[in-house]
Amino acid sequence: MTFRYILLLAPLLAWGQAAQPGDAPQPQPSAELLRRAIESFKVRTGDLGMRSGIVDKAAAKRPPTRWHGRIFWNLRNDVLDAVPHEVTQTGGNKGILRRNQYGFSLSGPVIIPRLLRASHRTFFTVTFEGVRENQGRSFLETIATLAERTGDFSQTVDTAGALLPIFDPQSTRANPEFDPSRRISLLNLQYLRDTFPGNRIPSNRLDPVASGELAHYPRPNAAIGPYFRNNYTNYTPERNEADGLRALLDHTVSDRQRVSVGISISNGFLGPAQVYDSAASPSRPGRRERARGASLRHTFTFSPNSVNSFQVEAETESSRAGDASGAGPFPRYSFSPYLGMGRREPASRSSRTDVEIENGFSLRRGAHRVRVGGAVEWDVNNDYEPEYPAGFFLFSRGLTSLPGIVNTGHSFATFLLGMVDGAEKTFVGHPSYWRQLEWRVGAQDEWQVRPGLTVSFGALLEASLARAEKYDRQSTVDLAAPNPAAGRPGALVFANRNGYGRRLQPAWYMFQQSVGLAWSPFADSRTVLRLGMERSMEGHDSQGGQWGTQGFNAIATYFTQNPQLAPAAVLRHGLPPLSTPLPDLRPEAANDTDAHLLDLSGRAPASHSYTLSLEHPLSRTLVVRAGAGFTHGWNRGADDGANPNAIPLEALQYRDMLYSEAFNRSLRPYPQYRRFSLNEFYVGSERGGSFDLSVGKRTPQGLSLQFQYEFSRRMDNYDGELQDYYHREKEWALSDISPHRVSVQYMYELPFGPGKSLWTTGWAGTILGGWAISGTSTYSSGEPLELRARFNNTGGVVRDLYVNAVDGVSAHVPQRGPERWFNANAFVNPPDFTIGNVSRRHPSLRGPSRQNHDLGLAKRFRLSAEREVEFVGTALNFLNHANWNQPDVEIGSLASPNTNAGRIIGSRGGRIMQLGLRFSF
Amino acid sequence: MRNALTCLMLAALGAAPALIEARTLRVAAWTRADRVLQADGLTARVNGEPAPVVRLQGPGEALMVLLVLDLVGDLNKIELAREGLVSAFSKAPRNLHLGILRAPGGLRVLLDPTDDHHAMARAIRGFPVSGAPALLETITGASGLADSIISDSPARVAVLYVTDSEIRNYREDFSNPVVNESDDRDLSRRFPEGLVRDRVARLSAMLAASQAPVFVVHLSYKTDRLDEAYQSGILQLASTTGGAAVFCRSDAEIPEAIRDMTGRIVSHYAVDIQAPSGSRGPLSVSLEAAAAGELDYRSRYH
Repeated sequence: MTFRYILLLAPLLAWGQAAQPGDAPQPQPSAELLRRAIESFKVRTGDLGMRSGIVDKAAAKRPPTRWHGRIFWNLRNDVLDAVPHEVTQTGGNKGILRRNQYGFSLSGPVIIPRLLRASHRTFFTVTFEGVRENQGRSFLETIATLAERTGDFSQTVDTAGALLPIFDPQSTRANPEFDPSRRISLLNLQYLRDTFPGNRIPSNRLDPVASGELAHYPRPNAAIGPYFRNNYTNYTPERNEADGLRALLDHTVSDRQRVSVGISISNGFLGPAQVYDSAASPSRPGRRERARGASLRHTFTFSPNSVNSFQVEAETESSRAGDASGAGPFPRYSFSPYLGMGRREPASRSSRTDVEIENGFSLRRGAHRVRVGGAVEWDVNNDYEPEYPAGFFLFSRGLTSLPGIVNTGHSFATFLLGMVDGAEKTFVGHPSYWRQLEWRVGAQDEWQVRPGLTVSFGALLEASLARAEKYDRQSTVDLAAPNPAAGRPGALVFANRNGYGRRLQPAWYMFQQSVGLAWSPFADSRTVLRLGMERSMEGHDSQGGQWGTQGFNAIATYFTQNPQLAPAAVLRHGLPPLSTPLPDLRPEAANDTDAHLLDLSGRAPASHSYTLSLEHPLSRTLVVRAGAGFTHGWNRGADDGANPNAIPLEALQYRDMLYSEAFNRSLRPYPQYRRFSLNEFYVGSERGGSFDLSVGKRTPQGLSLQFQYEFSRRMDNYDGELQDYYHREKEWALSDISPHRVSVQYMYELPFGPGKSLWTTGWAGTILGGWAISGTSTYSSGEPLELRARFNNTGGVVRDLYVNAVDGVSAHVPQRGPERWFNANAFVNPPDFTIGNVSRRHPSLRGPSRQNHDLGLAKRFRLSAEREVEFVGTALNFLNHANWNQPDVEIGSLASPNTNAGRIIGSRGGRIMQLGLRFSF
Repeated sequence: MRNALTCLMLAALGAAPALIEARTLRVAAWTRADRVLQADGLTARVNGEPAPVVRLQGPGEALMVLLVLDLVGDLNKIELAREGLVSAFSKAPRNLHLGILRAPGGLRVLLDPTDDHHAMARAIRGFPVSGAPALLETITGASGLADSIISDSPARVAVLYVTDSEIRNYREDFSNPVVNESDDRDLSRRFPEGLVRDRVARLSAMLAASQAPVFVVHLSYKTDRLDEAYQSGILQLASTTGGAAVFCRSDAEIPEAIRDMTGRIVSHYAVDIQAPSGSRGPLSVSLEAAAAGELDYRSRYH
């Protein structure tokens, strides 16, 4: 050591002497300089503990390595925010907002007094974060008017402003002059029914239960209109509290081994704003959430060309929602288009635990780099989510309408009469304990054929086992199983009974392949052409909750035999109890319900995709990339887009007879069920292509800019409800995606202050230095419009009725604006008992585009080399831009047009800001 | 004896203030179009004041490269980097001595500086791929080591990092992951690059006083926001020291990028100029050499 210092002194002094002003440097031979430099390297690296053998000795002499960390506080307050445009338009103002987010993070080498000094081997990070937030939320809804609450509909009009007649269901009688050979119309009514005198329901006819429940229903407090619409606004607080901790310990066992262990803990409470403050509020209930996580990662380097990595991750989340006061849940009442009462899942609890064990081994041999790996994933979901424990009551206009005539009657009038169109009540005796297992093994080879050409091959075998219930309390309808009660196929079957497996659905063994190519076709290796082809498949998508447990739990369903003539139930009489106690494991236990149906076919969703891209640097700091892709997918999972119990469209010829529940059901393939509730039914297809262009620029001065444009066009035959489930080839339509998307992301360190090019010193440098800008701007063109008929008089055959095009009338308008976004006169409600001829999504009409601009500004103050304070301002939608709402796409009939069709009413958005302070050390 | 020598050493270091008073700046410079930079006609200014050139060393003179390997990820890229480094340094002139260190877990010497190409190749091919990336943790250490060597022997010294680091793989948490999943109105992570930017700014301030140029070859080009900030920061750090950084967008680019970067290191001139006495704070340097044409050089010091 002493000798090293002696060696050091001479050049040091020589360097010092060389630095004396006016002295000429003494030229020294290159070899001598190198010799001294090498010796210096050895001495310095030894002193700094960078050499094997003297590391510990050297480290012992050094002071403990400092810990790094930060303390932060972020603040949001309504004073900083703009009034949301949707609130301004309703004449409202901002509500209170107080949000405080605070915490700290600390990281560095682990030190245990007397046991472990700071070393580079063991490193920790601990982060705590807390949130306390109270925020006002605005609501704008349409509710019953004061007059309507008393049964007075004398001022109630339709969307065209014409009086909406309310008919008395008690006055219903057959029309002796009805001619069944002619269509039902005002001139040929099947049933006669009288309007209430003065369009007012007498008070003695009001259902006492309905009248009583109205005590929990709000009264109008606004007149935004038109026609009494948007007559209720409210601004109520929302609470958000959370505390969380993350900790990570990273230990370098040796040069070849590294282990890291992490944990995370978080507790939170979300108290959503209530649209109105009463037990009947339809808003979601408050929810307590708890999350725990743990991870272990181990990396072992066998040799310079082979590495193994192993990791285990476990996460568990639980949530508990609902009123813990002990008061029973409020029933749910729905009388669209008015805001209803009561909520779905008024009290629920669930927990989800995922455990994943993964191992991967990478080996480089010759021109090949091979990766082999495998993983096992185990999901546990425990759910208790009764949907309507106090009942769900649906009211429609049918019972107060003139049978067979659209645009008559009102669902709220039907509610006041207590005449239920349909009802459900959920009986859940115990939680469901779902378990699902997946495993996969795969291999990939990257082969460097020659410099500038790399080909990769990948193969993955994946097994996806469908969900199982811990106590086998799982069921589904098997469309082939005999149903003794109905005398036809389609019966409820149960897990682990009668030859059915625990999982009901077959396991999927999926073999996926990929081929890729990266080629530099020119002498310049920085220009890269990439080609990719992939066949991929997806595993089971399992639904939790009590879905698929019929027989063990029940959703009692009450429906009318004719929604225009007879109620399913009467409010004041309540709902009858279950006819068969649970568990009810009969094959017919799901008869007359919306039966839960799993896809037992074994079809797995799959897709082929092809990509091509070219990347080329225009300069050292500017890179351009252009790419294109094509995808074809099949067996895509549909829920609304599948309906195995659909009535064929030919049945529309039966016209008003379809309103007879018995006749209607007789036309269904599985008449023992009203309809099917599906999770994923793998019957859809899609195909599409895309083109993208991106430009990236980075400069040493601290500018980073990414511009991206993407054009995409995709079509599918399964997304959303269809008119014709039996001719899916007719249902191809544009997918619900924006065709043009542009995004710009930027980060820039302003060129002022110390170390920069301008105002490097003085007050200007202090004030102007240390500023940084971050931002993101996005633009997306509108999605294809889904035009729908306002009056769906198809006897329940078609659930979502498209519209008809009017010949010779263009759908587009010359000067598009919110007053007239498209020409609604180009479309018309299809005649009764016919389907629309315009596709599910219009081929050329698009909704309004959207744009958003977010900006972050930061200013650093250096306190010392290791300490600084940073102020951060973040503004979302900093331009306070308003994006228009979607246009009204409901097309009325010629007799009763929707005057708002094609119009855009209102816009949304508003600037929100957050200020932050961070002390780093 | 040891104490006496230590005192002598400290006395020598105590002379440092005088050295700082008449501060010598090491300027890394390059000529364009293969012109030769000569001391005759080379003039320098510091903050607009003339500053004497005390030493000029060109590509033909002694060069020590401190190669720092910060490689922990994709074996394919690492293998290409290994072969690219072996190829580049096997063709290096004999006046180049290469010392090799690895960054993960703290700077550790793998090879003392040598001109033995076989030893270089053995060390480059033999280092283990493990640990967490550590460029941000070690860059000031590597730069400081190079500066110390320059202060001991005014040979040309440069630092070359070869890294495949991703910001999310650091031991220190720069990604600022969500702590409270239930807090869905968190705006603080809208621009996640804040922590990376802070660290880069602090390192940049430290490196502004360094002498040796730092060069970085990154084996991949990332465009997600966090890595964009990280790689942009690497570019800034290298630029601050008068060095450069390059990011490879394809495997094919790796050997070429390493070759180009070593070529740039070998071809650099080390111009030692004497800053006027009392120069403090930010220093702006300008070099002119009519015969050599336009020069690329580091122009800012602190």
